Amino acid sequence: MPESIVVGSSVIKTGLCYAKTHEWINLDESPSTVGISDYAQKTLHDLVYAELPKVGQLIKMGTTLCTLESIKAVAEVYAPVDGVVKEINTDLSDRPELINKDPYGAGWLVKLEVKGENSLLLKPEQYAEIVKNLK
Amino acid sequence: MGRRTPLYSYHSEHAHLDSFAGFDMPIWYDGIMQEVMAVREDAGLFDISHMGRAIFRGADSGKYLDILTTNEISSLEPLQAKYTLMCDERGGILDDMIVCRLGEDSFMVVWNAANSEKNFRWAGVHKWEWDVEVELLTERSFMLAVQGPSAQRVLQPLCDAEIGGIKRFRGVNCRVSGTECLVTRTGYTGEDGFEIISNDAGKAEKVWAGILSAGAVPAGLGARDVLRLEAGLPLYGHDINEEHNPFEARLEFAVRLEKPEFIGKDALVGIARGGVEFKRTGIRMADRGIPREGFKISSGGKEIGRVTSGTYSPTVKAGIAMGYLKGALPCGTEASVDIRGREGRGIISDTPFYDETKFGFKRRVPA
Repeated sequence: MPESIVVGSSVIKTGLCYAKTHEWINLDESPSTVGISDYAQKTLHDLVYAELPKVGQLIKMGTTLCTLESIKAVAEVYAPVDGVVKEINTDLSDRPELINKDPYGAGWLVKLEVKGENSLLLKPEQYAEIVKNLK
Repeated sequence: MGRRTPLYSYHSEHAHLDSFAGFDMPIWYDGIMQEVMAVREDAGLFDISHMGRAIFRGADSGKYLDILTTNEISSLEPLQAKYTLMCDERGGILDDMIVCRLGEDSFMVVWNAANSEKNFRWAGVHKWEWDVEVELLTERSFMLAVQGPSAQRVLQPLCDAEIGGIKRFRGVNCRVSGTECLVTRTGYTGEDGFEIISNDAGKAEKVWAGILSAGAVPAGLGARDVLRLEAGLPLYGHDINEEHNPFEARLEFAVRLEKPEFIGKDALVGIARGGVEFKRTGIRMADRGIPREGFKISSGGKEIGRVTSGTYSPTVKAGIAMGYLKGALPCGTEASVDIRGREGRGIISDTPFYDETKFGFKRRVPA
């Protein structure tokens, strides 16, 4: 299987699950790393501030997990699953641009201990279809 | 589909576009941050052809602009420019603009895109029997801005006149890349730079390409908004509007109350005498918050105003904003900004927000 799907100028990494609202989660590990997709970081552009949750916080699926700010806009990142925050990416406090530079790697946001269902998540191919239709 | 400038095809290929004042405009090319820094450290090129451009012609045009706007226009020398305001009878700001005298009986007025038709009608209504004609030439002309400490070095080789000797708010008629243009030493970034107007929209791409190949970086309206905010310059529709007067907006330097007559004079004389409760004030964040339009600003537990525009400043590396704040708060006063329910720590600041020894047209050492 290839490591990524390319839609226009956006890369969708395989091996991850996605939410319609452009977050990714790696369910192969526990706790599971969460970030935003390449499409999302390109749309937000030039991030200058990432407001992350507190470790230990319980977050419900679909509610605000983080707030990202670019020069022009504020965007909410929603939790793709119910979960407890186990770790946050402290590098982002000084270098929020990591999210733009490496959204699937060094620009990760939090690690969640997944609680309950995650049947609403999308496979990379399904998420790629959504991105394709946004173009 | 919105209106397009003569450079639309370049923008649609190279920029992220968005609608602004009815025009499809470039918001950024390679990134707002790098475009802001290019203007602060080198030279950026903006397409500002969306700006409203009107020519006032006729024997009474200078006198008429003295009546229509708050500053004194009739005393301008040829190719001298001035910032002025158009107010209504209550002293509310209808628009801000730059007027440049072209000749004995003609003036170029550059005003905000969003207000262009409104201003044109206002100028028509008050014309009475005066010998003055007003013509909008936004459609068939173009306007560019080259801004930054290297602006002169970039632009000079393309011009057939010496531009280094042009003082701020003065201009020259010359050819730029072979096209007849009005070049003025003006801008909306706080930096040294030039604004270029040509009546020949068909030459826009040639002049644009010439300035890019001379070394300027294309910059969009995203960077322009950050740059003007860093410089403390107000944006109509956000920081100034009909509900605010020039004294609240700290634009009284553009109001000549001693003129015998102008629209809004009676109201403004009264406001000047009585003083104002709220003043447009700069605020700089001491923590990581970014103030946005509409956010509440408080001091000593009491709301003292709201943000009228705010952003992250790549130059000062902090959130910056302006808003109408109650009471004349001295610089350095602590004030808090309600950032989506979190209390952000702010400090009342002078503008420009940046260190003027390092950035802006007054800097000591040119880059």
